[in-house]
This record gives sequence, structure tokens and C-alpha cells, in this order.
Amino acid sequence: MSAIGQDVPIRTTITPPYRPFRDPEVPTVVGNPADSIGWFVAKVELESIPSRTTVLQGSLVRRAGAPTEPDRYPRQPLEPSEEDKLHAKLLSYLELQHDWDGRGSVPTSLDAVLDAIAFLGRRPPDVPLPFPQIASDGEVGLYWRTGEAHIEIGFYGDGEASYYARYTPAAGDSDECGRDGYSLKAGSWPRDLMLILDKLQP
Amino acid sequence: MPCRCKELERKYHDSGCKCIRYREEYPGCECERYSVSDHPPGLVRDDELLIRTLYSPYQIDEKGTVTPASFRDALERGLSINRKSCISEADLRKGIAGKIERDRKEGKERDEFYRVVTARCGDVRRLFSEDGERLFRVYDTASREDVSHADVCQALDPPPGTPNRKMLRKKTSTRLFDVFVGEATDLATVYSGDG
Repeated sequence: MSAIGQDVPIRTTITPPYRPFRDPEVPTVVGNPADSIGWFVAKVELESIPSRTTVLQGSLVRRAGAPTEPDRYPRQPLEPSEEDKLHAKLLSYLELQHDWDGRGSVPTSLDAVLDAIAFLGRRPPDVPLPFPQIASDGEVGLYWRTGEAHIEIGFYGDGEASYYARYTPAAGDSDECGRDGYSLKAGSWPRDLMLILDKLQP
Repeated sequence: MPCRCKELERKYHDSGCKCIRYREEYPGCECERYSVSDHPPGLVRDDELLIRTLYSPYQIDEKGTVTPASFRDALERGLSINRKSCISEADLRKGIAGKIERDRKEGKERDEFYRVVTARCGDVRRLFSEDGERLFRVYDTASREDVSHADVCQALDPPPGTPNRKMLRKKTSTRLFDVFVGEATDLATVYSGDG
């Protein structure tokens, strides 16, 4: 599993009796479809018991003689999209151990990574992809930075996000917004955040 | 000295929470007006160049720029820095190699990776809140082993229970990021420049 982030990410779905927790886009398989070996990580809940969640994490290995599943695990290598690479980078944070950034730094949680991926799953199509980041206190983050704007969103895995956005043009009105407790169950990204993100557009 | 800054530094220098102690125990004390270290060279001047070394590739984005989250250390344990004017390139290289070696001996997976970013001390000290209060302080935390060592500590932090506390912390940290921001580079580049 140490090769996570270097392999080709592909997607799959979790089928009943499990279903993805919070967001249908969450289940993500990271592996090398060329040899059909990879691994996945996903947080799911039993459909019959919605309050009971569990983490699925395991290997995908095509057994010799097993029926090929060309649609699900294609043998042709896939070219990862930029979003796939971003997901893989976020998942790679799970490899970090205690003290990864000096004494006292803590690893992040699977929930924090999945919250970030869930948030990205609702990205409006005209918003550019952010950069990923991780803080020494385990917060997983996404950020955009231009000469005029700084936008940062953080996830600790509690189903909420905190964000801060600032727009300071050389000429004209500046703008600033942010808050804690943005629920990831919300259907769309915060309106005030979008107003500043819209200014990133060419 | 009106405040027992040296005592605090001796007690908490490696505690992981020194900045919290500075804020809580001496909130109005100007500890950076007096040396907090028992070792020379003394106070950090505004014109000094501060070097921040990053040891994890996770702190550098794909464009080669340091991530904003890399500056959160100033909130609690202190953003560890070196004063360029107090250490040669060769000695800083030795210090970085020594840190990597110590990490390996502690069982951490470590390659030779490191990058540095810089800021002028005065630019850090000239960051103010909307209420006109200083956001960060720069303390001379020299040790016998590293006389060039200093720390940036966040001087203000909303108390627990403050609405939007995480967001406010991001906002403050972003200000520090603003003055350090730039392409993460190597020591040769830093020492070939002025300052």
C-alpha cells in the first residue's frame, strides 16, 4: 500500500448492503488497473442500519481464471485526471505517522480525508481544482492562491468544514469571508465562498 | 527585565506549547524586547533574514510553493527558524543533516528532502490585527548547539468558545504565510542573496 499516490487511481462504487457515507462520490479506488492490483478505502454505512458506519479498506486482486470485468477493472491503463491525482494526494496523507512534521505533530484521520473528498465531489464545474494540504494538527485542507486571492478550507473529520477567503485586488473593493461549522451535508458550496471563488476565474 | 521571559523559555523551549505559555503567562509582556535565551547573539533585529526549513515534501505543493498550513506552528509550539546572519551556509547544512539523522535514529522514514523559505523579521513584526495589535513576535531562542535559532510565536489567539475560532486562526496564519510565501528553495539560493 505504500505506493498510494503513485499508482493510477480509478473509481468504483459500493453496492448494497453497503452504501457510501455522506457522499456517493466518496468511494475511491487507488490502484494499478493494468495488473488489476490495487486497494481501496471508503467509509460506508449498512443500509439496514444507517447509524452504523464502518471503514472498508482492502486489496483488489484479480484471481487467475476469474471472469474479467472489463467495465469495472479495465486492463488498459487509465490516464488519471487532475481530480484523481488530487484524491490520491489526499489519500496519501493517511500514510503519515505521529511526529511526521516534528515532535507533537499528529497524523490525520480517514474521516478528515473523506470529508475533503466529499466536499470536492460537489465542486461547481467552473471552479478550478485547489491544492491539497495537511497541517501538523491533522487538519486536511484545500486551498487556492493567486496574487489577489487566498482561499483555504479545512477538515478535521467531524462532518464540518471551516473556511477563510480573502480577495484583495490592486484596485477596487476587497472582500473577505469565512466561518466554522459549514455542514458537509449542505447541497452546495457556501455562497460567500463562491463569490470570492468566482473572482479566480479568468 | 519586567517579565520572567528567560525562565519561561528555559521551562518550555521544547514543550510543544511555548507560544501558548508566552500568550497566557505574559500577554502584555514585550518578551522580544529582552533576550529570552541564555546564549548569544541576543535580540533578533528587524533587518535580519529568517530562514524556515521544511523537512516534509507534504509541505510543498506541486508548483514548488510552501503550503499555508506549514505556518500553523506559530500558534503553539513555535515556528522554528534560523537567523541567516548568525549561521554560515555550511553550518546550517550540518544542522539540517543532523536533524535528518536524528529523525532516522528515532525510526522515522527520512530521505534527504528539505526546502527553505525566508522572510525579513521586520515584515513579521509589522503584521497587526484589525485592532492594531501585533500578531506575531520573534524571540531569540538560541541554544548552545544552535546560536542562530529563533522562534516566531503568534501573539493573539481567540479564547476557546469564540465563534469561528478555526476560521480566525486560519486568517491569522495566512498573514504569516503572506510574508514567507514564495518558492521553496535551497540554501545555496538563500546564501547567494543579500541579507
